[in-house]
Amino acid sequence: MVSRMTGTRVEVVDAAKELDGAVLLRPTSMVAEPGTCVVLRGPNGAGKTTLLRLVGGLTTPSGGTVTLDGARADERDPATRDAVAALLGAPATYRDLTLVDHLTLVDATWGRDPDTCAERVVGGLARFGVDGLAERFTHELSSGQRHLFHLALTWFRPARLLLLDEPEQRLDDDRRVLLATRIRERCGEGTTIVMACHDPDVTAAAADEVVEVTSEAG
Amino acid sequence: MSDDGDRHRLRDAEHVLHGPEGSGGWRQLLYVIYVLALLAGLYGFTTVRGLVEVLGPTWRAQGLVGPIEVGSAVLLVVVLVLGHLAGRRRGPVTPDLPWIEHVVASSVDRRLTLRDAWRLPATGFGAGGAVVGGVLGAALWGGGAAGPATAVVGVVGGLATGLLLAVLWLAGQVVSDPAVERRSSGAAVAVALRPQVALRALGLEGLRAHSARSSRLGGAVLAGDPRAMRLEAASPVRRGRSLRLRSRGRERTLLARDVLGMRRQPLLLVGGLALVVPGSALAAWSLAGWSAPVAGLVVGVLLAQLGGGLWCEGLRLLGDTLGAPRLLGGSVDQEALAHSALPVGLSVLAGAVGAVPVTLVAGGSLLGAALVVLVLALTTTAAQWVAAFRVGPPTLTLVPEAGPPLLVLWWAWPLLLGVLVGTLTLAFPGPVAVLALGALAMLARRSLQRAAVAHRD
Repeated sequence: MVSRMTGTRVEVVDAAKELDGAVLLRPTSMVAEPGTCVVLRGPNGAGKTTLLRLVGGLTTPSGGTVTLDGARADERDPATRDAVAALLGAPATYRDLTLVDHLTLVDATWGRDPDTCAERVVGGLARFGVDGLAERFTHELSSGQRHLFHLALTWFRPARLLLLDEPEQRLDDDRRVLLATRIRERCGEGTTIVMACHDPDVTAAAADEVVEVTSEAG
Repeated sequence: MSDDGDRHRLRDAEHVLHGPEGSGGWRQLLYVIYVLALLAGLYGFTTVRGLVEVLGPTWRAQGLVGPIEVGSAVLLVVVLVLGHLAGRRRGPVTPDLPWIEHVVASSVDRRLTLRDAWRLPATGFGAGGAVVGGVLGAALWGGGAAGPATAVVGVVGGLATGLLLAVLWLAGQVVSDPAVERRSSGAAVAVALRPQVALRALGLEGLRAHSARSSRLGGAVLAGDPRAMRLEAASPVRRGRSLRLRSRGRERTLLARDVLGMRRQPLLLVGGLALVVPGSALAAWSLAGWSAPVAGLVVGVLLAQLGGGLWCEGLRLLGDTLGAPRLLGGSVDQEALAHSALPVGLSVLAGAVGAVPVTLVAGGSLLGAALVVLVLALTTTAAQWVAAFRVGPPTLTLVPEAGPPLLVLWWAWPLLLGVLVGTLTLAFPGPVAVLALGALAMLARRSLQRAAVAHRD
């Protein structure tokens, strides 16, 4: 089970990103309160992933500010790393570990009680319905199974802010419903969630607020 | 369709795809053989003959010729086995994907459509073997260690060895092909000895897989992407599925992860031992005061570096994850140190097995053996930090003239650095050793720091 934590307050004020003259994100503002889910919506190329990377402190804004609980978002800062779990593309996994080993490793490195690790790991895999694949290696999963495993892995590490980039991709209808349920559960536990999403049903079921990200000059 | 008809259709296809000039593959191969022969004749022959003239009498007097011959034979067998294993992931018959899709997939006899794709590497290996064997034989003759017949034996033996290596490589591809029913290596070798049969036995799915992997491997090398290269080159892990990682606290679990990875890939352990034990023994022997050449020390350190590198998978995997959002708790420094425990520990143990007996037999001290073991373990692991945490190659590697040598240097430089520092430290214990080790340690730490933030723009 995920322990109850206070979520992070995310504040983005006129954050923009340019790289070598190319505009990746036009000035955008948003606020995500603790325990809420904010969905970023917009056409391809509008800058949703860039905004998520800015919020995660993985890159710096060319203009404006991005703060987590009032402090600048920067993943070099241990406080940011402790707060943020992110699924922005496929995470780098270990080719010589099974699914259950991956979650055990994550559990141990966050200093959780070794005696109850196995129980948490089983629960973590079951959360997204991949507990039946526990002894498989990652290269033995289908595309959809691999995505569910990545979600389980991201959910498993302690975090006060979850960043998800189109988490509904490659999921069937039932799994999309499951995803929306898990998002609401996580928000109910206090975690803040910011995600990009193109699915109107998942958005309707999961979002407390929808932010339009546009590629047009405002 | 008759054989003549197939040949006619094949010529038409070649003309359509490559024009009247053909693919140019044979011309390129001839050029490579020409350059290889030139370099081997100019530098290889001179160097080997010099070594034979300088060291040959001493080695003969000490009765070392026999052990060196045995060692060479073992090395040759290892190369042949490795060639066969490599064929399972990337065989010699890898024509371009369009050729596979449009020509090999047609009704034309597969023996014909794959003929050039096999003959090119087979000829290359045969010619390369003949050149290397010829140079070695001629150098032994020129150095006064053997008669003129040795040069001829070298050419013929090298040619045969090269062809045998190519056949074993093809056998590896045959045994990995999903269309081939007989899956044992022995049966595959028997098939590969008759290349026409082997080419007909290869299926489209396997050919596509090998060809695509070949392209991706080439791309990974050119892009300086070690992760992609390892994923393509290494066989998927399937062993030890029922073994479980147990939570034992942060650092101990990271160490347990590396141990588990090693149990699931025992070849890494065996390969490392096969290199580190003789490498440390050679280094210790070179330092123990016998009439060993400096080259012995360099080769010993090189073997130890190569072997120890096989045990650093944990460090490489950490390097792969840097830049992605963090999944694991704790700092990357702690993680890197935890992943260093296994290679250091194994290098010390294996190094001791190789270095201690040799040092004692040579009349050296245990302290000297301990110095060899420790220096090899530390320099290997530090060099692997530099390798695992390096950022991409410089943009100069994209320049056509300077690119290829720079790229080779970029891939090789952590190993060269480890060999240089290891050799210097062992050869000149004292201030030079302290300086060299300190510089390497600082560089390793700096590499980790740079890699941890390299993804930021």
